[in-house]
Amino acid sequence: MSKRSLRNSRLAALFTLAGIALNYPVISLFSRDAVVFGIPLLYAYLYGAWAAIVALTALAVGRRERGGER
Amino acid sequence: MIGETTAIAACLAYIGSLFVLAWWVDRQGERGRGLPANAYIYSLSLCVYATAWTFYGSAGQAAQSGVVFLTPEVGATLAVLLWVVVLRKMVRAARRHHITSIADLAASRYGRSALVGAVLALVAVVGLVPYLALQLKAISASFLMLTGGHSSDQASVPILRDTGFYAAFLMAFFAILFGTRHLSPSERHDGLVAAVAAESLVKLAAFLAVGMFVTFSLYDGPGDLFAQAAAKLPQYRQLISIGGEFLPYGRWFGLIFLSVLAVILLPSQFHMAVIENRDEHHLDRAVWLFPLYLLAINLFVIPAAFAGLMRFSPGSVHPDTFVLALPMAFGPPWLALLVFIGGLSAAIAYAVVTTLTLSIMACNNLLLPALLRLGWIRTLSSRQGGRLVLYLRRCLTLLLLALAYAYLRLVGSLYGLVEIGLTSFVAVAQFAPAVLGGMFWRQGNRRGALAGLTLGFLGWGYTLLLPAFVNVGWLPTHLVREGAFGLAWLKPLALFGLEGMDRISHGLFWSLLANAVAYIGVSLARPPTPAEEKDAARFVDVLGADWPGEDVQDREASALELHGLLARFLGREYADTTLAGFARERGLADWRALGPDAELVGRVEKLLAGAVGAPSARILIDSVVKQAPVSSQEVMRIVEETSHAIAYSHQLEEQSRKLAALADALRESEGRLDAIIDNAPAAIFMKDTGGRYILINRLFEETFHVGREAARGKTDYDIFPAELADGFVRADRQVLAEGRSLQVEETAPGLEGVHTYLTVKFPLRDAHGRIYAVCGIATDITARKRAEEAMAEARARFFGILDIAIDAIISVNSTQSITLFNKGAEAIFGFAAGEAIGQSLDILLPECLQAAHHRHVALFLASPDVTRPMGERLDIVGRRKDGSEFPAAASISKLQLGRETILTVILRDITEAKEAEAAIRALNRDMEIRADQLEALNKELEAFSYSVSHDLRAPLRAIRAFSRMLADGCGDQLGDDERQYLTRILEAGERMSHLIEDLLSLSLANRGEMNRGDVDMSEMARTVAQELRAGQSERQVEFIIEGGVHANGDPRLLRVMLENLLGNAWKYTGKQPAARIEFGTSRLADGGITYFVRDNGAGFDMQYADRLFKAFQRLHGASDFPGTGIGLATTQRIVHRHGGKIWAEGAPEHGATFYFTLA
Repeated sequence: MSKRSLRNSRLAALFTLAGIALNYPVISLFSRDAVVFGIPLLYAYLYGAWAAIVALTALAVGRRERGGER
Repeated sequence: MIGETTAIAACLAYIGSLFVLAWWVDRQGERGRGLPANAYIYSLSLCVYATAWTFYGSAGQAAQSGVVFLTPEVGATLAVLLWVVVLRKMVRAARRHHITSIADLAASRYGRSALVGAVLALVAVVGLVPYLALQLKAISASFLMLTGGHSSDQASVPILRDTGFYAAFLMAFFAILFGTRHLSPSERHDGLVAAVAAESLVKLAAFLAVGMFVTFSLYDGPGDLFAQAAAKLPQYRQLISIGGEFLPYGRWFGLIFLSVLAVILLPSQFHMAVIENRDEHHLDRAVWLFPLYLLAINLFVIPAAFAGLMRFSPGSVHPDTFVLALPMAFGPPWLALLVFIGGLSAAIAYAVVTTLTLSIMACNNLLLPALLRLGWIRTLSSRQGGRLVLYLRRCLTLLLLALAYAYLRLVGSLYGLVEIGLTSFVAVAQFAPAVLGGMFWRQGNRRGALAGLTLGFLGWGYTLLLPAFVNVGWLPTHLVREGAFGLAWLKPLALFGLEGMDRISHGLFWSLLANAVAYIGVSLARPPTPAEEKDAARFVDVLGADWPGEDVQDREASALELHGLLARFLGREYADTTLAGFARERGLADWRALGPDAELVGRVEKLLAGAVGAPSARILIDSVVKQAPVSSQEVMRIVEETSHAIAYSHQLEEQSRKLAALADALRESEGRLDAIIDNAPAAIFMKDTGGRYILINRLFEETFHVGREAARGKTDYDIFPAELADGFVRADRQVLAEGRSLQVEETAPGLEGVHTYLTVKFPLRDAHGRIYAVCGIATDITARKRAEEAMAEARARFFGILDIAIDAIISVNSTQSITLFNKGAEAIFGFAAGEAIGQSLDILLPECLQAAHHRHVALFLASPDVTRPMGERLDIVGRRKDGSEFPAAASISKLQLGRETILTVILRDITEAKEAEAAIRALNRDMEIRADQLEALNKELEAFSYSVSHDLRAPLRAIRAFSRMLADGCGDQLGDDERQYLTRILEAGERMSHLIEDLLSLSLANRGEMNRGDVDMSEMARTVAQELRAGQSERQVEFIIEGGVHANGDPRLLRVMLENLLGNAWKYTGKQPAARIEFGTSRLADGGITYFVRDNGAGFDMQYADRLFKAFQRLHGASDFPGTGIGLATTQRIVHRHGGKIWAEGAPEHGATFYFTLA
């Protein structure tokens, strides 16, 4: 598997994961009156998941791209 | 509260500095030091996505509807993950085809269709004008709030007093200044990109600043803020939850889906991400920088919303303005100004980019093609072409903003920011089937795209735009309440009775469904033409190595005309340098020398497409292309292409039929192969290069007691003893190393003992010629081996026998040349085997015999005899090497071996035998002579003795008669002595008479004729017995004579014989007081009859039995028993003359028995 198709597969997997994590029924688990570090659970989860996705995306594409930059 | 002047000044200063930045960057670009292609600037420029809607609207939506405000950002984050695949393709296609906008992309994809581009451009304009209006609304509303004006009723404000009007004007100015300064073949605007990137930083900074202020200055951190919100806000529970009636999951999902499409398809996003992309690799960085930016700018949305809800009494401040209202009410003035500037940045960036791309679209894909078709432009001079396009774009920019402002004045106040934005998003989502489908789906074609876009647009208009117009009051409300024509299933908000969905999701569902179904359905309705297939391949395969490349058509145009076109739209200078560059590539000094050729036309068309769009460029080029000479060629080409396509499809059908037949044949042949392998009388196996079994046949299974499943994957070491396996593996390796077949003899344990196999091993190769297995066919040759050994032994024995034979054994073939010559032959003939073999048989024959010999051999060959002694017709004479000849005995035999006849001669040197034979013959001749002499002598002797005896009888009779008369007459006259003498003379005379009688009878027995007839032996014996009794009547002798005994013989001789035998018995029983004499017969073992005469007289000693029958031999003294000793000799002679035998048994004093037979 070439690097590119590996990366594309990773991103596709991440897309699937994110699509599931940010939709019903997963988010219904967090729709309740609770706080985490003072932040409502739903918001804490959504922002946390979002940040995690961004981080994973950066990891998935990150290292390889130095060479491409000019 | 900030003064209006201050606000305007700050506003102008900010915008001015942006101008300066953009101008500077553009200048750098003109000097060849363009904005460094930078992934960060690229990523920031993408953040044009965060519009005023995000900046102000998010907090408003969060305050009203809770978490739903996140959907555009979450959608964007998801969409970004697909970018690397989707956007990369678009970037590559845009560069390849000099695409200027998303409408241009669709037009290019569908055969440079002006119609597709026009419809797309129209949808974009209609769909996005409200969104543009939304930006104006944000600017004017925020300006009014900042300066203390009222935002509530825009419609009532006179236009010249309306800040929205000035905002629109400002934007148009900015857009015109940077977007439509000049025409270039690539719609890239370095200055604009730099300005947008800068604005992105400003709006992020502004939002973070206000967010921190609210969270940490107004409240004691997020914990405090949320705790207070939970306590104070009655709707708190709703705002932090999802899934209830307040925010159904369906709406959440629908909005995310919508956002995913919008991020890719919004013309502004498309322009920044695709058209302005300098380097495909920037995408890889943007993929995570862009969502990270969105995350950051959304961090404080909820705190701002909750703070606004808590700080302001309900209704006093519109939630959409919380972000500005909070710093204004509770913070320092500079913060409020900063927030205003941030919002301005968001709105301006989006509006400028959108108007730019919409104007390009409307110009290149709507207006220009129409004008060109109508022929309005052709009449213009060359210099005015490019200007006209620029003017058109500028006019369009103004028109767009004017439309947006008009929308804002007429409709905008009645709808919230959110609904306007989402309605636009749904319009943009209509591009999805045609654009995304076109990039990935080969079958999508022009008609499908048109049908889909049209239906989708109509659906959007009916389900989303129409209710908006009803809301505004332009259309009657019953349309929404009761449906068009009063049909309930046509209610725009519950189409076909679909209820329970929110307005946006409902509209999105129906419009996109209609769009996609039409696109796919119509595309598939007809088979694609070759041209359509080529169009599809140019986009779908744009990333592939086998990208079909440019479509070079047979179009010709003079360089001068092409130059004119380029000059008209891109400037004379540009036309000069470009064409000069082409000329240099072809080694020409001046571009005017360029000949008319298709490639040149194609390249110029692309450059023009970059400026005016693909459809317009096509029309422009067509206007200068020489049609006449081309058209017939073109027609020919089309005909050819079509016939090729038809032939190709026939070929394909044929091929698929062949393939199917091949597959069948393959299956069949596999089955056949299996059957052959399994039924082959040899053990067949296949091993991979590592020596592991792949396949074995049935005989292999049976012979080595291993199942084929069990064998698979095993090596020889698992199946055979190590020493055997070593040998097998060695041979396998040799085959693998040499790549040739190999024949080896191998041994392996069989059912009974060790078997020998002749194994052919050969390599199996795959389609690339690489060896992947070793196949072996092992034939059991044990029987052959044993036969060979037996044969060798037989040969050894055969040659051994040949060699030890004394006789010469010589084989010749049918032409009589020698094929075999044994040692005996060597010794006899003196030739060595090597000398003789191959020579003609003639070398062994004297010349005089050769011809006769040949004749005889030919006769023998023709005869049915298998073997025949030679020399029957003439003597065999051999000739030695030294030329000497010798007599020989020989036999010849014939052996048919196949078609060949082998003659074998066995020959013996009979020189010595011949000599011995001659000696014997001489001896025999002597013997015969002597026997004749002896016989004559014997005859004489017999005649003599008969005549003597006969002749002696007369004198003797005289002697006896006169002696008797002397004794009778004058016996008393004589003295005792004289009388005694006389008596002795008498007795001697009598004895002599007896002797003579006997001798005569002996002679008689020898001589005379035999008259054989039937003789009654019993009668004859009785007669003799009576005579004997009469002779000595005083004796008491008992005769026991068997009756009825007959014999075939001479009666006279038999009488003599019986007289002798019975007389003998009578004589020797003389001293026996109770004498008994028997005559009878007994049966012999062979069935013959033997006669016997038995007495109980004196008998004899058996050791003298051989003397009994000799003449003059006597066993008893004459004093005991008188006799001549001739009787038994006579008897024997008679028996012999009758062809019988006689013998005797006896013991002294116990009588004797004489047996005889008669033939």
